[in-house]
Amino acid sequence: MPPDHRFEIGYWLSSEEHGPRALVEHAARAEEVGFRSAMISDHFHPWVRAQGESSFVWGVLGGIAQATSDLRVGTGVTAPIIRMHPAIVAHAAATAAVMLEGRFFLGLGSGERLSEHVMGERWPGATERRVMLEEAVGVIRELLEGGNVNHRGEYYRVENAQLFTRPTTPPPILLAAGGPKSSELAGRVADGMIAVAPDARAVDAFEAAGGKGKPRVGQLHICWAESDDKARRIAHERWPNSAIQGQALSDLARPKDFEQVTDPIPEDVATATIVCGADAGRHIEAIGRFAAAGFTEVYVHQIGPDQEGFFRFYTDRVLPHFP
Amino acid sequence: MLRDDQRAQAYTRNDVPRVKADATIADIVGVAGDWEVVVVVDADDVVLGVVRTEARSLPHDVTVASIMQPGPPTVRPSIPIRELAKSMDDNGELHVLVTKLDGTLTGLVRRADLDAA
Repeated sequence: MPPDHRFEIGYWLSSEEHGPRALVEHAARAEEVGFRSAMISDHFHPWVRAQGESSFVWGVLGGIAQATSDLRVGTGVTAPIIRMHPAIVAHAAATAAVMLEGRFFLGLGSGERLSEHVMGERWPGATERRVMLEEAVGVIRELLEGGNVNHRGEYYRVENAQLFTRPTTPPPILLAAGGPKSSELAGRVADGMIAVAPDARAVDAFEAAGGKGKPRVGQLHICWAESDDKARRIAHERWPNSAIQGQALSDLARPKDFEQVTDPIPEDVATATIVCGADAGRHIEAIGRFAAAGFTEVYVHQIGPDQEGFFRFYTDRVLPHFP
Repeated sequence: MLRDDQRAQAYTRNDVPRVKADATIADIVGVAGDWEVVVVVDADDVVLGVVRTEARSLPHDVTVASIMQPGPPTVRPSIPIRELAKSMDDNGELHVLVTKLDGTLTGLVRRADLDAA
């Protein structure tokens, strides 16, 4: 990487917290204030009921495509394994890529039971889901290439499927990398990786498996408010799932199951990994930890309803430090 | 070709750049060169953390201590090189720090250098 490489700071569109019309408005506003890229979450359910929303991301992307002109937008992340068959994800992604005219990237992952259980299917373990994801990526890539696809795999069948609406160049596919095995998979089959923590080992595993030189994308949860106390209160109310790590995150089924786990967790513990408040230095350092771990982009998720306050704070106090 | 009798010491790059914890990104820019990582050490050269050189694009007044990856994996100079290579492959490591028992930095072994051997 040349010394003058620009570290990209993007904006996170939280489908769990904002309705579809608000998400489109936030995307347009993000572009207006200078963000060059955004990622949008793809859920069937919010993590907890206090978040209150969970729109169908592919419909929202159509709105964003019409409301923006330069903003690069990707899903963070879509699980093409149970709720959405990979052929349907390829169909949706191809249409989004055409609508966004080359500004779309497809973020994929092995999913959480929270959103994927709704079809009533068995919830596979992490290892099996990774195998499913790898097969799904192959199916999606083949369809995005445009030919007539027949596939008889271990988990998916595709019969005489062809995408007639698709972009000239397939969108890049980025994979969620939460641990060494998923980082290895991302390095082997994807065009980039997405992670929720600034972990240099995940970046190393991604690069060692073939990802060298490809985008390494992180997600940073923050809550800007006028005071630290207010920010922590909002973060605790709206994003208590931040306190949940590991297998529980992927294996709990319903928002109220998450609430049973998070309700007893005190505010300071639940918000420990969230940058709360209006001290610009802490936000800059949190972003910096991703760069120091080898990431090339970080998408900032402002928890809570006040997106406009966040935009003002970041454009005035944070983004100017990243010219 | 790696030999059974070789140790990590034989492939350790002692010139890996290092800075103190109170250094800033400006210091990283000054020492990074073509390296992918800069090692953060204390006054006695004990390893505190590492910073990938992607951090060069951060504001130059950010302190290294506030962003570094603390407690990186390390090995001793005496580890057999083939054992280290296998361990690096198993863990997806592109490089590993070599330290003495007391944690002081000896250098860094790059997987690419082992491939070239």
